[in-house]
Amino acid sequence: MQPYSNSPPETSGPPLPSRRKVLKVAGAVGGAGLALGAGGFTVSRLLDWRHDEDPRISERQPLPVTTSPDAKDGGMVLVAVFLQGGNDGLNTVIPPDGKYKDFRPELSKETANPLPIDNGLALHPKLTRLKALYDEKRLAVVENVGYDKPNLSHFASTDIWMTCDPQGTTGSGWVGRWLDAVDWKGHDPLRALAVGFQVPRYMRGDKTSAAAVQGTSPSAIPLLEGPSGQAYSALAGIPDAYHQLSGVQGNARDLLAVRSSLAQHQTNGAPAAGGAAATPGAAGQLGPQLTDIAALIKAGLPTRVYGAVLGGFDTHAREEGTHADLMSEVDTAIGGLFDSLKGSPYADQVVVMTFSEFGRRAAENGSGGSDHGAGSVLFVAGTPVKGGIYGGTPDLKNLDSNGDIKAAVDFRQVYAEVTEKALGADANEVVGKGFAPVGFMG
Amino acid sequence: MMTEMSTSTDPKIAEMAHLFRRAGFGAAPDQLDQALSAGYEATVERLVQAAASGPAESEPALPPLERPDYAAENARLRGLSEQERRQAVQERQKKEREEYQALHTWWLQRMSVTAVPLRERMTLIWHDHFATGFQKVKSAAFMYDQNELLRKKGMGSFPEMVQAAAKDPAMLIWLDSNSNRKGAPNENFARELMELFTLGIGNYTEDDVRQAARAFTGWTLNLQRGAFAFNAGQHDGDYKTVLGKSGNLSGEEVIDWVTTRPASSTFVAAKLFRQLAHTEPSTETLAGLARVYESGNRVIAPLVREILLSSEFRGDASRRSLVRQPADWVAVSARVLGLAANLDQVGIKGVKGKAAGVKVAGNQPLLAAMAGMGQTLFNPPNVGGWGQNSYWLTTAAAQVRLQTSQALALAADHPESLLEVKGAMPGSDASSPSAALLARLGAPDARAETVAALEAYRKSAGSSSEAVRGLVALALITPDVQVG
Repeated sequence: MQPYSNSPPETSGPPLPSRRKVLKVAGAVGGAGLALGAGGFTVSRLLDWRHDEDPRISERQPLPVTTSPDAKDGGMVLVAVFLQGGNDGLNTVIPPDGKYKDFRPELSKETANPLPIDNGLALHPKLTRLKALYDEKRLAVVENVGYDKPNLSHFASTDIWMTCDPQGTTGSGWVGRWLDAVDWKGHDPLRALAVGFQVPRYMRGDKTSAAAVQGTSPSAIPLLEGPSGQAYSALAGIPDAYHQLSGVQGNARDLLAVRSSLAQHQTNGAPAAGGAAATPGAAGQLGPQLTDIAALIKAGLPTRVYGAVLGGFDTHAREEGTHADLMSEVDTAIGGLFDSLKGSPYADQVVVMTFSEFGRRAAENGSGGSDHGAGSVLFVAGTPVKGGIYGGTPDLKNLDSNGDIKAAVDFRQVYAEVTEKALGADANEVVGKGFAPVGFMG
Repeated sequence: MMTEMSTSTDPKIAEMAHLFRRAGFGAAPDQLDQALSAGYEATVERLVQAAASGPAESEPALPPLERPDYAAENARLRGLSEQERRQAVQERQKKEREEYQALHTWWLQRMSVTAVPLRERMTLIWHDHFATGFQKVKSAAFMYDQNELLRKKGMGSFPEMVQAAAKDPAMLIWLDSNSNRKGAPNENFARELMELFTLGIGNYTEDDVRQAARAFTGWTLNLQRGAFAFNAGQHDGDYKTVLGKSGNLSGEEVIDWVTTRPASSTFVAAKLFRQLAHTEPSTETLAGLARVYESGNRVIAPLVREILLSSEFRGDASRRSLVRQPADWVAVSARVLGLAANLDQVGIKGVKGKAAGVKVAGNQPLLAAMAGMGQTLFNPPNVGGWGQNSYWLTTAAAQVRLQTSQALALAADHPESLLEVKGAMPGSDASSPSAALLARLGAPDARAETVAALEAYRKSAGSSSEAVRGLVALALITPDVQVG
């Protein structure tokens, strides 16, 4: 299957028990403070909202420059990159095990000249920029990441990675819960941004949701000016709106808040976001997203979490070539992001984290590809990161009953560490209780 | 409860407008008139009959779609030099993109001019269900063939539709069924067949997926003919057990078995209910619908009829409970604003790049707009299709909807005629030009505050051509028109 969306369809799937059953729709960016029922009879009363008095745009503070990772609020920026479809971890970081070639006579040809790191592991030959980051001790290679009782459905496993709930009863995503945890009043709606049309589930909380931005500079929209702009505002604030009328109105209010906020940051003398030179070699879909993100970071936006996505990782067939292209795209895009940030006061505050809903089966299939797996590798990169290898090496002699890699690191440990060290927030609230840090943030 | 939601509109008008928004793309005033005379049940019957057995439509004309002998094509490419091959591939890709755009526009035009709206609605629902994407299939002709299959079979037997959809070339490519080999099958199709098309998570095991995958080995796409072919040499015809059924099961037998499991009835009922009514059906509702589906021999038409006639669909629970998909909203606009003929010229100009996996050039405004709103037809984001409601309501999408609304209004044909209060509402004049406009856009039950906001604009902006178009743009972007 080729490119995936950031989030699984919200309400498709079996009726009951449904993973999506208790989803409370988060439509409010920056927290308009109203839970919008996904179906039931929820009426919002909004007698007092006026766009020009929206408390969410009162803050005008740019992102603070900080070089102290020890500060309680590390002040870092997290760039989360979702590799959608199930990235083949065993071909991303090649294990030293002789069994690797036994399991993958065809697929091992593609990784014939990998880039050695430590512990006998080696990076896919196309990951040259990540190798350089590893040599600079700014890349953490976290192996065997997954969770107990792996689910091999894209949608279910994506939900689990995004909500942190293997039972499937939580609707909110972990970054969404971070947004909820901070008092929304007065907070800039740009605190978390998804690049592109979609807001993935991990960026949607119960009350608040990340904004979605396509392109970096808000173009002028005549309809939002003058009397028609007033009408648009009036429509966005109609009281007693019910069902999806309420949802659409909230969406309109969010749009106005986001546009105003983006405009604030440009009039503050920050360089116009969108003026950044294109990342060299930025092809495909991830490069442009990370180019935009770099521009927004450099503009001093107070955004603490950016979300990007690259699809195409579901390599059931003809994986060779496809996976190499994806590795190249990821490598170029991440390298390009750090290149773009060179010289910016924020360069050393940025942490990039990749994640995927599962890895792929140890044994290749007969179609030149691999099927859904479980444990896999992920990368965390940036100056605040303590480079190295975490989580051990993949154990091909001890696969689970499906023939997949067992998890040694729970993905929530990775989130917990990032939540505490990069976002300066309480992991218990955001991710859940009892997830010991992996150690890649020192 | 009804009083909280009611507008000043006659509840029968509101109910009928709701039916037409869901079972089609809104009703023109004269259609609404006729429907009210005939009554609700009779109207549902008429809509269902037309969709189930009405004649095929031929408007608009299908754009030319190439059906090459891919085997010969690939052989030819292999004989070229490296540089020639790269050039030939580039040319082919360019042609593919042009065909894709033409097909994309074609379907939006069809939705806006169709005389059988429920059939197009069902085709869109099935496209979302058997979601298959051009960016991997890379053939507009194959995508069209699949579309026609869903159109023809969409109100008939569901098990038959799945059998046909499974062997459809677009699906074979999309889920890698075309390279499923004995001894080491790939699980893609078998998994998605059960998870997404027929049963849903929790109603099968990993073992079932693995065993079923064996049944689909040997399925392939004959590149020369562009059609399904069975390669017996690659087929694993040995003993297997899927969901409790054992034997030397073939792919067809597996499909027959999964589509006749009780869990499948609930699954299909849930899918259609969520797409037509609202997204939180109760267990009781679904159980009732599943019974109707089974006693109707798993034919879709009776199930659709049952949903549309249900009190849950007709009443408060379903009212204003589904955000219009971008295709729906554009189709309504195109029909009402008279834009169908030049639809591909309407949209956001100057946007280039890859959007939603499809390459968009600067002169493809409609495609850019649809990509920005999150829905490129024939190219869903993944095999799970699109989402619903808040899925569409992101700030990025809201901005694009605004920009598209402006573009639609600017291109509208004689927009001032849409403000005429006579003939916009059944049985009486509309209360104001804004109310007339909203009624024509499928919302004769628009809220009083919505009408008031538009009237306030109209009175301050005047009656210049520019002001009229501004009013149209605002009407398109009202929650009452954004929500179905």
